Amino acid sequence: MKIPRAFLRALCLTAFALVAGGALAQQAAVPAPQPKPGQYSEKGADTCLECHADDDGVYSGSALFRSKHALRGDRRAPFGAGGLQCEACHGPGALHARNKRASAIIGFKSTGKATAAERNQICMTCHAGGTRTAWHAGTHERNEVACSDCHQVHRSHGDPMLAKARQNESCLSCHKSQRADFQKTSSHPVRQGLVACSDCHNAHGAGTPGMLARPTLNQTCNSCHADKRGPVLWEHAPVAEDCALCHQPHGSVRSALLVKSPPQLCQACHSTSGHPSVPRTPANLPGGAAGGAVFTVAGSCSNCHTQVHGSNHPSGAKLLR
Amino acid sequence: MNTHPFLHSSVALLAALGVLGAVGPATPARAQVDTSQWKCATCPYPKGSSGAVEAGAVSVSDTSRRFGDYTGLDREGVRGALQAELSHRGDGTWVDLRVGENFDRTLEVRGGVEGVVGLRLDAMEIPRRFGDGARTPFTGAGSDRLVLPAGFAATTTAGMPLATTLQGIGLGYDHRRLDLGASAPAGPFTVTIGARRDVREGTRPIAASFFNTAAQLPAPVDHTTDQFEVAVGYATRDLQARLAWQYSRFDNGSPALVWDNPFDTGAFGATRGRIALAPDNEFQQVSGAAGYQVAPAIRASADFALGRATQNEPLLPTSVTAGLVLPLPAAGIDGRVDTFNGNLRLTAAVPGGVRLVASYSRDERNNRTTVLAWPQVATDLFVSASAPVRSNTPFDEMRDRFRLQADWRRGTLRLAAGLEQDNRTRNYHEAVRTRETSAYARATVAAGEGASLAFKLSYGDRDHDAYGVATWFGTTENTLLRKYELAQRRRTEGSVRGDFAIGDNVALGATVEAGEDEYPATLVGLRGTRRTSLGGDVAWTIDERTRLTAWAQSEAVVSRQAGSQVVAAPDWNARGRDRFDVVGIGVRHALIPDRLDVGADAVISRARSQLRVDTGIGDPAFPVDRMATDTIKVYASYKLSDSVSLNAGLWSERGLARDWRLAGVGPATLPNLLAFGLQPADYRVYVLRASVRYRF
Repeated sequence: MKIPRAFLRALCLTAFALVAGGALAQQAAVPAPQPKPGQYSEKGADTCLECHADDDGVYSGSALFRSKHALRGDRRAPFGAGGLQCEACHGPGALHARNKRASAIIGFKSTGKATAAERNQICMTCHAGGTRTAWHAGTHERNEVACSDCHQVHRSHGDPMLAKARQNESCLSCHKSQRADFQKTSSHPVRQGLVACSDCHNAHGAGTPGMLARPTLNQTCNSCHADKRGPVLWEHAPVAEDCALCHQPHGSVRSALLVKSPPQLCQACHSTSGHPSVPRTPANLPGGAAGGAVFTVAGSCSNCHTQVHGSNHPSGAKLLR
Repeated sequence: MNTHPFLHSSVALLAALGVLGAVGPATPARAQVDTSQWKCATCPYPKGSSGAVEAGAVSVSDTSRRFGDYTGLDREGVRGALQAELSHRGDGTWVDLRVGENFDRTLEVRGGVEGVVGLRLDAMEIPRRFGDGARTPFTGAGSDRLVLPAGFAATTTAGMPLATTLQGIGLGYDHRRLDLGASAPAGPFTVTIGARRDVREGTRPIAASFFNTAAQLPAPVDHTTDQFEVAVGYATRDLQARLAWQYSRFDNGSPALVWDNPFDTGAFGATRGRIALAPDNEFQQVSGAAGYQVAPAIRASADFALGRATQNEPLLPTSVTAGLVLPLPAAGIDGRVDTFNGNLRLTAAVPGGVRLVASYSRDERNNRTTVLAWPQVATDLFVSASAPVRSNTPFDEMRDRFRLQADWRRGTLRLAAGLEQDNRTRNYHEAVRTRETSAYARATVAAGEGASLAFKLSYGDRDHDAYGVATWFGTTENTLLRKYELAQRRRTEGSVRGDFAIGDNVALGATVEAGEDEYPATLVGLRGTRRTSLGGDVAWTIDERTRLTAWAQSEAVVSRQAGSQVVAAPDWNARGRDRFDVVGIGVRHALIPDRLDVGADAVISRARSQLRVDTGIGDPAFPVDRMATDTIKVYASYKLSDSVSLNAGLWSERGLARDWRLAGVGPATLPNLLAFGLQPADYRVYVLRASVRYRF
């Protein structure tokens, strides 16, 4: 398969733009916290725990020590050998230990002094890779969502974003129309805690519209619904292009997450001579004057054209077999 | 698939970025801090094992498959319930286990050796249940052969011996998943491997026809999907990269379904039918990503994915009817779809407080399946007269997206604007090229402490090159038809969102959204859609013992489409109106502080859909479809001691639907459709749970 030349050209232009723009942008940098010797606490976490060993059921100073951040055997962790412990994230703490003022240390509350960008820069010191590689261009970053707005490392029952059943509550606290969508007649089992938002979305930033976990919408859907992946002999064009042409993944007032019900859904694209272009009215309901109820009730078009996702049958050109 | 030029280019780019990293501005080095006295002597590290186990019973008051969809609580009766959280911390090792987070069938295990390897295991079961009231005369449901008892076939359903042969059938399947993974750091590298198996077993509803008669059938679900991934990540302060290989294989234990024809086809002699089910397929993908912090205010990232989907299962014969087995041009399709997905992103903060984001994406789907001429037998009855031979149409698509966005902040005001162009090229479509240009603007104002208002407006305009006729199609479409994914379209969207805090205890939010899609050049097909949505929510911490939350959302969608039964100018139109309203309330209260906690959650939703198809003679509207769901959950937790608590909960759910597509449609209601007789949802279920929780 040829690699698109347009893509290669864009790649080269990007590299040029990086070199040319580097000097210009230095003036507009978000200044990174500059630790100075002598501003760190005397005893590290032991200093902090003199005051912050509390546990009020939501915030917990001690909960951190059940998490990966506190692993002593992992050199990457703040509590690993040579790590700066609490001050790896909260910055030098000597002044705060003396005057007990919140303003003297980096806090991660959304109501605190540090901006979202400043808080994120601290997290990104260690967590810049993996799924966060495109964070800088993602919707959350551009809307000044801080890592700590979703992730809570000091929470009594652990970071809710890491547990499927509790992650969704956090996402839906901002994405309220999606919260309503999951209450509709058909939906993915998000409110049941069986599917997490992160199963389909990469909240840390991705190149796809909607920040999907896979390169395209179809690849995301097919990761669970591999029976629809194909390729098959007789493809249905909208299936090959975009599942969202017919389905609303968050929820629908119709069955099977459909955006419309057949026959209207199908008649929006099919208008050949014969039954596809015939309008179906209440006269076509069972007992109605017009007959043809098979086109209207039960599965409607799919009473016959059941292979809407494509068919691998040699005689399946009309998605009947 | 020639990957070398792209990989070479990527390596060259990464090398260039690495050189830039060496000579360009570096992020500040960490201060050297003497942590030798930081003993962490008072750090409350857990030691040994701890956790909680909660065991009890769950009683379900009624049998309802509709209620059991996703919950698994589809049968009346009492069953055990278990929920557990366990942690163990050893000398350099750790394990966390969670079973049945919501008394569901889930298991999560995390563990590892500190700094050496991290392990994970997830297992879950998702039950699917497709409605109540399904009946069928077929035996063998769940297998790939459906057999009718004696007395069939008949010319209409009225002549079938359904009174003595119909039996209830529970349509549905269980989806079980096992997901394993491990990751190990090695300096700046991290190696990750993962394996996942999904198994679906049971039945699902399909239908199949013999020209002008049809039957709904329980199709077997015997699907296994295995996925593997191996990835290597590299991360330093300024440069991150990842390379991965993924493999996925789908296996269908039942590639076809054969069923006895319940309808008498006379001289055609089609006593059986055979339908192809999803074929086994494979997908492989190599993907990579890299990000580089060029300067404190410039970051670039790129990713690519090269994939290949293949399928070459032995094809079924053209028909299961003797005498209609025609020679095929190939034993399998040797299907192959190559995909390419690439993204480039550049962000830069420039003087003046402006932040720029530029991105380019290219997505390609290239279907390499050979085009051959395939003989067509119409529903196992006869060779198709209108199209005895058809050629398959392997669809390709290419998509380029360019985006430029700018953000600017000054004090409490934040402005954002963006421009995007989306170009697509397709084969075998009426319009080969479409181009959509969109623009948006957004303003956010922080009005005092704890208050903000956000406004957003966007507009998109899509056009296409010549809209012709898809000549590959068996029957020519109405030349006035415009398919909505190709048609000219104007999309307008706007929203206003407000968030307010009243003191420290009350948070309010409100959202208004509206959008409209117009298809100005479409005479036949979808002509327009209008959406409006209103939402509000409040979170109130009444005091340290009581917290109240409430939210509501109302959404309306109106769509218009036109058709032509004479395959010419439009002579009918359809208008659909959907309305969805939902209200949720939750309260938590410490009735006796540190002893008795109580809570309740309620969600009430109403969906309403109405369809009117107007042929010009004053046709009435279809009956209104409705779905009402009322869910109330109350719970209490009483702490007997520091270790033991008693928990109880009641979940009440009422679901009532009106759906003219299903209501009153029994197995023999239509003379030419043997239906399941699935009825709209109508259930009321109470689930009572009582358990004891022990913490250790």
